[in-house]
Amino acid sequence: MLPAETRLPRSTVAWQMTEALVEARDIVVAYSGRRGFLGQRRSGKPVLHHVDMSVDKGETVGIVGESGSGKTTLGRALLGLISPAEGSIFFDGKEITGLKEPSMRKLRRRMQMIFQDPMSSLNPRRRIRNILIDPLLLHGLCDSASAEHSVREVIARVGLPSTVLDCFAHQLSGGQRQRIGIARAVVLKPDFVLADEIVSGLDVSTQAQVLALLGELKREMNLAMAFISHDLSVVRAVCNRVYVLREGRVVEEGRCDEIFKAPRDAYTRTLIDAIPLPVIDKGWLSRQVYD
Amino acid sequence: MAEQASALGSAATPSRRRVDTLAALLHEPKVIGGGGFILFLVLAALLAPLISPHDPLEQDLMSGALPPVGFAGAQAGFPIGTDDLGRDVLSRLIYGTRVALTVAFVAATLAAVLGTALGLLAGYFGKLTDGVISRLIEIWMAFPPVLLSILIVAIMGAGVASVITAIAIIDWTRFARVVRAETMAQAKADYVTAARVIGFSRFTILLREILPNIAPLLVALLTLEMGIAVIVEAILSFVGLSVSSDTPTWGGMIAQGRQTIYQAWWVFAAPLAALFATVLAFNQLGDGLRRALDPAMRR
Amino acid sequence: MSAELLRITHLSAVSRASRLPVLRDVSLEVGRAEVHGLVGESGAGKSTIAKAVLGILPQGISLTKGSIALGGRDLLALGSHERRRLLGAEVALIPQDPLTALNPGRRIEAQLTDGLVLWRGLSRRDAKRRALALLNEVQMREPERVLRAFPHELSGGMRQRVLIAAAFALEPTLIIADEPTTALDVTVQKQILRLIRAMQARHGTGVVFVTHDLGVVAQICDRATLLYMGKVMEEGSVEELLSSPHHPYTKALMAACPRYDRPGRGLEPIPEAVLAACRNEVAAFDGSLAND
Repeated sequence: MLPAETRLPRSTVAWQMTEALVEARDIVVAYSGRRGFLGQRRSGKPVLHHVDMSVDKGETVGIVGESGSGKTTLGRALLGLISPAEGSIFFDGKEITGLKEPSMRKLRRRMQMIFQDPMSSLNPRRRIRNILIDPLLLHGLCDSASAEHSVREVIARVGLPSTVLDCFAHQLSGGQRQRIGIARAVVLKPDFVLADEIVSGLDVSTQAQVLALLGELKREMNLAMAFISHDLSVVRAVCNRVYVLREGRVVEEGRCDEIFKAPRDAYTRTLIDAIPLPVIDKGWLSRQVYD
Repeated sequence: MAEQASALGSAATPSRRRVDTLAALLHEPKVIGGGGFILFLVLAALLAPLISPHDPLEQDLMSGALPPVGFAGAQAGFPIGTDDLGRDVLSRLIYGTRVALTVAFVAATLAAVLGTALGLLAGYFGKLTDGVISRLIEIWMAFPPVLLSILIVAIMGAGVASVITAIAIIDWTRFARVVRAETMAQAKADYVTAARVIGFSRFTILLREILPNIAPLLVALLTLEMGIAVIVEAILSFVGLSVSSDTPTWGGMIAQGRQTIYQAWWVFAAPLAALFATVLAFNQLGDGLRRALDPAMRR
Repeated sequence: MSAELLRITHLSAVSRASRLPVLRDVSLEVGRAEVHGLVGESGAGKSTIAKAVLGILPQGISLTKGSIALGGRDLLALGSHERRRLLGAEVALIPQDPLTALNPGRRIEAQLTDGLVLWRGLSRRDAKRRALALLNEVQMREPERVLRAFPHELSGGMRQRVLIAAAFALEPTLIIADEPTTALDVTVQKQILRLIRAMQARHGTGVVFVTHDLGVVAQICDRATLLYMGKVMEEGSVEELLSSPHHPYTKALMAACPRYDRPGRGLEPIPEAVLAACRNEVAAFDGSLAND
């Protein structure tokens, strides 16, 4: 993990230009309500209420919450996949809210995503080789001659044999598929990666391997990362800072060490307390942290 | 078990996907049965002049209303007997496959192309596009199909082209609805989101990510539609709205046979049986294709 | 009457498709009011054991050896009718996914009272009263409303409480809990674990708790059996397992768990040497089988 960065507490930074790589300012996201006769969308229930967050270059920021907290929505908003009803998203100083797809395309190379379920994030009808080559060709990072070489390189980097290139997703194990997901995210050498619950469905041992790989790649490529998870333990091990979300709002935010040592918000305390540790703790079951 | 078994060191072996699928197809009994029969019909249609014992239009009033072989009064040269004008039923049956299959293949394909295109657009682009196309489908389906087809044929004049046009114009909605639903489901898949994140254009995503995953469903629908097209053609020729009365069609044969059903039941029964067998074959083929193509993917 | 509630002896199973062993000579005992953890990663065979006890093994898996004795009676030796009666009366299941375990088309009341009417011969009215009492026991708010509701109207945690109520409704002697909290939020998980422990203590039920989470084992189980590739690697009281594990796999698995209380520790990938040793152990076992 990268050494600590000194940052001013958020409250003293009003509306200054920041060096943040990715930033969400006061965003509100609502999902569609009823549709008009010809299918026009009308605004419905809000999913994110006035959320501020940022990720600096090379920093790993955790986004933690339970179901319904809006963490997945926040991640997708950061990537410009969802348009906020209010507020703005910035990438490298440039506003990307409401940007049309052709203008976004160049930026997309620099912001990538790793998904929770690699089975559903790999097209079942395409070979792994094509899944990895297509992005390279789209962004003109290599021609068809050198594409094979680049792809072999990235496959080797994530610790897989080159035989997987000829395979289809359903022929690989869960851990292998997740490595492919990581390979696809880094093959374009992005500046920012969103990791959306990438170890949630994995065994403890596979989780450890995948996170170790992710850590290496992050250091090598100086990636900025937003790590979405419901597991605070994993977040502590992986992230510098963390945002705790509850029902669409940020209830606590700060450096991981500080939050775990002295959580300010009651919900954060409940979350931390609820994690069962593999140690004997007689009072754990009956202990209630009131919210 | 898969996790720990593959930890045993055997890297995943890549398979030749196309060979896999083909093998799966050829092992599915419904594909063999249904597909085999259709193939047989195609050959019959192509080789009609060579394999028909007689000219289907040739009338021989001396040999009128002869029963099929095995019944009293049959003649060897007319295996399924003759109609009251002395025309050989078997030959007319064989030539009838030409019209039936032409309509089946062409009309079903046109309906599929039109319906799939609109269904994909509606399912993927949503909002206004979906709104407009969905309302169009609903309004279109409110028209009584039989009346609409009669209207189209009346406007365009009788003939194979009008029959094909009528079927395509009416049945595209069946494809559109199913393809739209399937596209909407596919569009939520993570690999579609992944393609967006990488920066592919929406059309590229539609053609490269979504369409191939709808293909198995489409193939099944297409064969079912072919069966339907055969029946519709038979209905239209039954009411005299299909090809000219000279060219033998199964529906026309059924219409004529109806008039002499007590004296010469085989004239009515033979084309009916052919129709039944053909539609059954298409349905079986479609069902078998669907089974063979989907599990092969999931294995 | 034997001391243990459940005794599994030398249980072995194979997968018909791959002809590979799925369970390798598994033996374990569960005491009368004991919560026993069946721990392992995916594919270790823990769910298979649970299904074998319940008699709901999938078609492709067949038992080749061993016995499953419930209260002294060997389940595998009974005829299927006898076995179903014994299981129905004595064993209950808390399944993993509360959403699919409940019939979406029937109200909660029907699903809670079915078993009572069928197996205890209660009238519908008595069964409803019992169902209400159970919902109170699992601390469900507004139990009357919940009875009238359909599954999709309840949250995940509430559905799991309904399933726990259903499991305890027939006063079973043994409950199989198949990863009952895996699909739940962590705060809800803690409430459900607390509930299961409380009800188990109150009714004196034995519980086989299938899970992959060592933290859950530590907090709710008395004893545990750790599986790898269908073979028992280590078993014992939870205190022993956690404070002084013997088997290298156990130690490595614990080191792989994330530890927010020990930053810098935890999340250590299992060393290839340990995995190789485990695989050798399994291969040696398979070899000794072939020699028999």
